[in-house]
Amino acid sequence: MISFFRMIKFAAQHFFRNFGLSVVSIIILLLALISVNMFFGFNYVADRAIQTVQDKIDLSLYFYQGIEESEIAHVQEYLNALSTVKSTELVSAEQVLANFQEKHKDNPDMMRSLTEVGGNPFGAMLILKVNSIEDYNSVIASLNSDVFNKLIEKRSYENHETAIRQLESFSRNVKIGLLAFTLLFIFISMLIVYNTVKVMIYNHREEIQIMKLVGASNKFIRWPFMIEGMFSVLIAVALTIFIVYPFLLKFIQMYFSGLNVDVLSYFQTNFYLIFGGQLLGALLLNTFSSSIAVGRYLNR
Amino acid sequence: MIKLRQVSKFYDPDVVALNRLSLHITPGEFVSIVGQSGTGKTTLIKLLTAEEKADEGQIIIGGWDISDIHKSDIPILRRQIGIIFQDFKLLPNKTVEENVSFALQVCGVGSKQINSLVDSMLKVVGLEGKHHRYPWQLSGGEKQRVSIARAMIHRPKILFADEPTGNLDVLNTKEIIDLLQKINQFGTTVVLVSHDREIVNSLKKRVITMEAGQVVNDQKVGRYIL
Repeated sequence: MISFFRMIKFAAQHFFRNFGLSVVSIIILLLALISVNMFFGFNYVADRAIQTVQDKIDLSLYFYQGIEESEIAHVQEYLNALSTVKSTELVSAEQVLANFQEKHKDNPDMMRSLTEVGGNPFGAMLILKVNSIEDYNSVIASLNSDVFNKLIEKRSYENHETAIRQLESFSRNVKIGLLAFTLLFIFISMLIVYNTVKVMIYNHREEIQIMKLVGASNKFIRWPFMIEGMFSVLIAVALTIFIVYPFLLKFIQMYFSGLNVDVLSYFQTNFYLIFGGQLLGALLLNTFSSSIAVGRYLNR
Repeated sequence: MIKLRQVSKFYDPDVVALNRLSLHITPGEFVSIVGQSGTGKTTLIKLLTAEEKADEGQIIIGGWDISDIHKSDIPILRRQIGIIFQDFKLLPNKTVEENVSFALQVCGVGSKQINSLVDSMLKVVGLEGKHHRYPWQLSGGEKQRVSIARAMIHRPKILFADEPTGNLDVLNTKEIIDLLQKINQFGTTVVLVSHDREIVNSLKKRVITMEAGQVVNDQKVGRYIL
């Protein structure tokens, strides 16, 4: 127990008496953590941006004129039962007519044509949204049967098919790209932190040799360096939270104010996962790096 | 106390640092080891402190055969001996008090006992009132006194001194040698490696002369002959 407290005391002494080096170490960790958080933030924004565009795309099914409402309700029921379908909205034939009249009220030609046709030329309409853009194909395929073809006159999807396919491909590429960038960035951050620790320990290589000559065990030499690293990580993570919240996230939020994104609430909801994960990751990385770097001089 | 039997150390197949060296030092002796540079004096100290391992032969310290000492036992050996160096090897970020107490802290000695031992040891080496100074605030002589205090704080039976006066002026050299003699008078075996002819001659103690990794001269009350 005495040794344990001494190791903590030595670590604290070392931390404060090499304050310049400690500050450098904290700054490097801080920059790495801020960058990782920026990536998390932008990742979320990109995800939300794709989601927003997806939400704006829907599939409209135009029924033949005169189809019974009960039959349409049947189709709606069938669609609602599909796990890929997010929502459905039934627009009656009367409402479709009213919408048409409202939309073209300033267009006399359109209004005249409507009068000439007489009555309500429109059938009812079903607007549906799917959970993911990739699901449109399966929904369309499931409606492609004789039973449904007798009821459905037109599918709006046919008009947007190319756009949906492009968006689907873009969305997939963005997700893969962001994941690759995030992993690459985390890897680079890890290398930077590892090398910083290595340089720090290199500066203390003579001290390590002296401690060995005086009779210190490897554990007694290694742990204060590892604990000192933990101090740096704790301070760096605390500073990251302090900087990321009031400044960076608000900046991202402001920059993407046009989109339906709430970066702050995303970070708040996932606070323990995001910052706890970073704390744990940085602690493991720092401890591992210190242990390896000190070990190099202990074995000489 | 210290026995070396046919000890050899090779750095390369053709670089022989020690060549079948045999030696016996009895408890309480003050032994000076002299010789030109590259004759194996420092290698001998490194083998005795387990900084390096012998390639051949047997090394026994206080009845403990350290010829093939396990890594985990090296700290235990070093807690039973004292070592001082030409370049002092003080921990730069620790004060005088902390440097000296470090040797006891690694052994797990309690803080109260450490404080009292450090106080009395700093008195013995003449560093009273300099507890809180850092190594960079001390003169060469003072640094070597701290080094001696650290080496002696756990009352070892053997003290190895590798060129302890190499970086000191005449006055400090004399003071450090007087201190080593005083330590020897209290019963500690002192093994001094030195280049300084005057010091060795003035001691009038046993002198072992080395050449090409071997003992070429061993006199009870010897002189520096090269």
